[in-house]
Amino acid sequence: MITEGSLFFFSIALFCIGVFGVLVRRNLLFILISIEIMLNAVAVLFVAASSIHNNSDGQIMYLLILTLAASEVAVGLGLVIQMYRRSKTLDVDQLSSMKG
Amino acid sequence: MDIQYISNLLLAVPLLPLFGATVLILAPLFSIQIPKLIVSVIAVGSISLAAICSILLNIELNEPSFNPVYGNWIQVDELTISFGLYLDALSLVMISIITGVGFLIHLYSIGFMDKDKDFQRYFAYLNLFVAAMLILVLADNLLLLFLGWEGVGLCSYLLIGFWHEETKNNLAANKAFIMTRIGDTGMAIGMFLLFFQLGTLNIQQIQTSAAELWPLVDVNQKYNLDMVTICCLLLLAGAVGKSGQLPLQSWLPDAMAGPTPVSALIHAATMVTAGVYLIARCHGLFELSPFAMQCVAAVGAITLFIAASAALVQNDVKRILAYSTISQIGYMFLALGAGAFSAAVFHLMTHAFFKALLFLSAGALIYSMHHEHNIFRMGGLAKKLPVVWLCFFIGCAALASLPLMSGFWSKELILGKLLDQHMYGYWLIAIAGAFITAFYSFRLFFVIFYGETKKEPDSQPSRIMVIPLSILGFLAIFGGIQPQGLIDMFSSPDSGQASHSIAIVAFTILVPICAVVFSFFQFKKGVFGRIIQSSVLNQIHRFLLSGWAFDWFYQKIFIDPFIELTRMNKSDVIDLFYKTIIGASRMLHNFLSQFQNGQLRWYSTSLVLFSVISLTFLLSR
Repeated sequence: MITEGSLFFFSIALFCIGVFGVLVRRNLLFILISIEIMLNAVAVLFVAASSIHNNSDGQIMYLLILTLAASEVAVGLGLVIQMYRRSKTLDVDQLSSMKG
Repeated sequence: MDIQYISNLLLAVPLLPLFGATVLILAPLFSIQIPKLIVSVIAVGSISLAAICSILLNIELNEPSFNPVYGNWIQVDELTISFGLYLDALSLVMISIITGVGFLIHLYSIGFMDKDKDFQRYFAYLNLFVAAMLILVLADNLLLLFLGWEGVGLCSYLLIGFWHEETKNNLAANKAFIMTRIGDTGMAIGMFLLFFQLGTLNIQQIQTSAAELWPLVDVNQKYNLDMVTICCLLLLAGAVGKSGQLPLQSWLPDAMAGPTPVSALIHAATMVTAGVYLIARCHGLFELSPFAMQCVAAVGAITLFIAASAALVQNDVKRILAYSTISQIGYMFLALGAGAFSAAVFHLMTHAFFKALLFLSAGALIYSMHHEHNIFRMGGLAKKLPVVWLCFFIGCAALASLPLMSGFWSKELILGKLLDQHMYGYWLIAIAGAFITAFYSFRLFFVIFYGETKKEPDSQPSRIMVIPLSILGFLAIFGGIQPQGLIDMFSSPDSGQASHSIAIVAFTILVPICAVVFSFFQFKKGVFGRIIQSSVLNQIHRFLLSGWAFDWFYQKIFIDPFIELTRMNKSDVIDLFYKTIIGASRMLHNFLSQFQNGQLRWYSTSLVLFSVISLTFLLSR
């Protein structure tokens, strides 16, 4: 039997992994993947909450997140390819053109 | 006697030179070229008309005083300053001297300044100078007097620095202006105080109401610093500054930087006599304060001695004359302090004649000797410049107060008054001063005109210079007639002429003669101009040459500490506060701008951190 606590813990752990990935990875591709992980962590939380409350709203929300993530990945990967073509690198530290 | 006629005549006296000055100053502004001849006609014409007006006034005035008011100048609440002129025996004598001697100096200047490129500017200043001095002596209130007073100061500045291409002259002009300004500040404060106490600035009203407010209770209360004494001392400060008396005398020898006729004008007719005039004009006020009178006498006595001894060793002919002026003004102050106002003004008059004569003949001498000022580079000029020789002789004799010259009568009168007042100490100083005066004036005379010739004169003074010289020479000999009006004006009922013993009178007459004879023998022995061997004498010589080292003293006391202070405050103490604020905000800026480094991961980290912190805060509440 999967308890509520372990579900929450799993979701939070997954989210933290995603955050950690965004913060420490330099490669733009991996940052995108980390964002996907964070989205999925939230989606898991929605599904878990819907099963606990016996309410199907959470599962509908999951479908919404799924489509959103799909379109986001499509756009994001397109941008990454463009970025790579222009500057021959995906290192965000080197891509920085803003000056403080 | 028609009142209207006289008041118009009186108004014309200061306005004519003012008009001349205005025309000469304004013409270049509208780029109108005035030929030299017309400039001379305007300048000399305006002043000669003023002189004629003052002669007419001398004839027409048969009242003790005449006070026409031409309108209101300032009217604020209680303060009413009218534009009024005041004519009595004192101002009549003064305007006669100023316009008369001023006219002769103007005439002489045509010849002296003939080759100068700033001919017109010179005469504009000269006219303005005379106009300001006339306003000074004719004013019926202290504020109008102060207007003329400052005008005189301004013109002296302009004329001393007339040859402004040389820095030395500019410095001398600055010095004259600043030194007199110190005295003027005192005088202005004195004026404010008088107005505050008495509610009027009219000189006659001041004297009457001061006599009511501060009656002279006890003649012997000498060292009491009451209000009237303070007022008198403040006015005295102004007089001291203008008249080159101790302790503000050191500008006068430096004022020799100007053209020589200007020196004659400053020393004889205008400027330095202003202080004497001020005290004589306010005599009613000064008589209320025995202590102030004592101060006037002490200032005069000390100054006359210091200046006379400094004149003993000078080399520059103009500096000798400058020191002798300081010393003679000292006599006038001494006479004022002794209460002998008419004697002081009488000496002022005779001094104007012989000092103008001396300066103008010194100018002619310098003119003929290629601008040579040092008397030891001249010599044996008696035969070569006979006119200058004669003028110098008359001038020196009058300055030395040899019997029957004009200076003799006035100086004898002052010495006699000192004895009348039982001021024996002052009398001794005055006698010593008279001896030194006679000695140095004939030292000057002998060194220039006798002995071996060192330099040949290249030209004789022109005729236009000789005419004023001869008139002044005549006046210097025969000008020793005390104006009757002055005697009447200042005579007090109890001043009976005490007769002095024959011995004392003979003594005072013999002192200058002895000095002249002594001077002659010293000259024969070749004492003058000899290089001094003994170091002590050398020290004394240098001390006297610098005029008792007053410049050095002021440098040490005032100028050096001030410069030291400014050096300490170079980085401005008050600015430090603002500089701290600037530094602090710059540090804060540098600290905060480190967060704006353009790194994406740095930004996302701070985003996350902020979210975590704020969520924690919200949830834990």
